[in-house]
Amino acid sequence: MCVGFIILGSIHPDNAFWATYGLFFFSTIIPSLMAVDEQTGWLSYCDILPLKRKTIISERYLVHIITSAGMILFYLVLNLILRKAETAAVLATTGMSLAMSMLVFSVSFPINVKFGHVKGQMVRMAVIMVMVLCGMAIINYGGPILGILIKSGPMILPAGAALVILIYFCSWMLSVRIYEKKDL
Amino acid sequence: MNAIEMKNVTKHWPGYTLQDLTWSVPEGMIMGLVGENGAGKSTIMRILLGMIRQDSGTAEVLGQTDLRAHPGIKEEIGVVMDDVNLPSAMKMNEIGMIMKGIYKNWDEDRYRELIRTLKIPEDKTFSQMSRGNKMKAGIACAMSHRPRLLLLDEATSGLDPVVRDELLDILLDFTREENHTVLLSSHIVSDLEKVCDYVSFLHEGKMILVEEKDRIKELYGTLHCTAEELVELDPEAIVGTRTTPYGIDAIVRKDRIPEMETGTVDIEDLFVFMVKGDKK
Repeated sequence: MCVGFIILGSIHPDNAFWATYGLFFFSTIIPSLMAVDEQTGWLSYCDILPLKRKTIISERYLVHIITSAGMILFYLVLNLILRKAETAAVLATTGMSLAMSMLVFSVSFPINVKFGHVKGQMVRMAVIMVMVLCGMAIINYGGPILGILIKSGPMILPAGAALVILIYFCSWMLSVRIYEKKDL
Repeated sequence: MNAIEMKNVTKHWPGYTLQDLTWSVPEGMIMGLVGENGAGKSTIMRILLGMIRQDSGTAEVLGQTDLRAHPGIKEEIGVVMDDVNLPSAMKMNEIGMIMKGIYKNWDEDRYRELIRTLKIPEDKTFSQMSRGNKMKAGIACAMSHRPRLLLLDEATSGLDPVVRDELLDILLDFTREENHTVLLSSHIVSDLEKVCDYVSFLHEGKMILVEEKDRIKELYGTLHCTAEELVELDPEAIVGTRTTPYGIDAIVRKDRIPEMETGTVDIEDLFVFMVKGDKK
C-alpha cells in the first residue's frame, strides 16, 4: 500500500500528498502491529519467553527505522534515477516526510504502549488527524517554509534533523520505561 | 532446595486480594494447585514470571527474584498459560524456527518428537487449530528447550482424555530427572491426583491447604452419619459437611477421631468440602 502511495506520488510530482502520505502511513503501521500483538495475546506470550522487555520495544523502533529507510530509498530511486526529478525538491520532500513520520511515530508509539490497544485508539485517531493536517500543510506550504528555513541559516536543517533524532531517542527511552513498569 | 518460594506475597486487585502468601514448591516434585475460578492461580503464575508485580513480599523462582528484570532464567522454565497465544498466522514449523532463535537450548528433535506424540497438525496455522491443539502446541514449545521447571496453568483443559493421559505421562517422564519440577494448576482434579506429589488448595487468595498427596489420604477420611452423631464428634475433627436426604456426609481429620471407621477421601471432595461444605 505504501509502495502504491509512493508510485502515485511519483506519477503526480506536483502533488506531494501521495508520496508523503506513504511515509506517514508507515509511522502508524508499527503501533497498529503492536496493538494486534496485544489483542492476539502474543505480547503476553513474549513475557514468558527469555526476552527483555527493552528488546521487545527496541525491535519495534528498529523495524520502523528499517522500513522507513526502505521506503525512502525506494522513493529516491524512483524519482532521482528513474524519473530524473529535480534533486533538491525530491530531497526536501523526503526529508520533511521522514521528519514528520519520525515525529508521529515518536508521539503515537509511547501512547500505544502506555494505554494499550483499546484506550490508545482514541489517542491514535487524534494523532492521525494531526498527521493528516501536517501532510496538508506540507502540500500547501512545504516549499515556502523550507525556503524560509534555509535562508535563516546554514545550521537550521542539521539542527532540525538533530532535534527529530533526539525526540525519537527520547520516545524510545520513554516507551521502554513505560513497558518495563507495565503489568501484563 | 525449593524451585519456587513465595514469602508474604500480597497483591490487591479491585475485588480480589492475594493475601500474605507464603508457599513453596520443592525441587524435583510435581505440585498441583487447585482453586476455583478467580481464586488466584493465574495471578500466582504471573507473579512468579514477573508479568505482574506483587504489592509486597518476595517471589523466587529457581533462586532468582524479579524475572522481569532477569528474563535469562526463563531459559530454564517452560510455561503454558491457560490461553496459549502463539503467532496466529504461523504453522508449527515456523513457530519452531522463531523459538529456535529465542531459546539457546532449543532442541529441534525434541520439538518434532512432541509434535508427533501429541499429534499436532503441521499443515494448519495456529489460528486454524482447535483449542486442544493450541494447548498442545503450547506444551510442545514449553518443553522443547529442556527446561528444569514447568509452570502449567490449566494446561490440560480442552484436551481429550487420551491426550490428557499422554501429557500426564510426559510430565511423569519429565520429573524422572531429580531436579525437574512441575507446578500444575488444573480444574481437573483427577489429573492432579494421578501425577502430583504435593497438592495446594487456593481459595479466595488464601492457601488453605498444602500437603503431600499421599498424606492427605492418611490425614482425612469420609464419614456418613446422622445429625445427632455429628454433634457428638470433636468439632476440630470436622473439615466440612454436606446434608443429603439420607443423612450427613462429612470429611473429617482421622487423627482427631481415631476410634471411628472412615472411608477414603479423594482430593476433589476434600477441596469442595473445605470450600463449600458447612463447617459445624
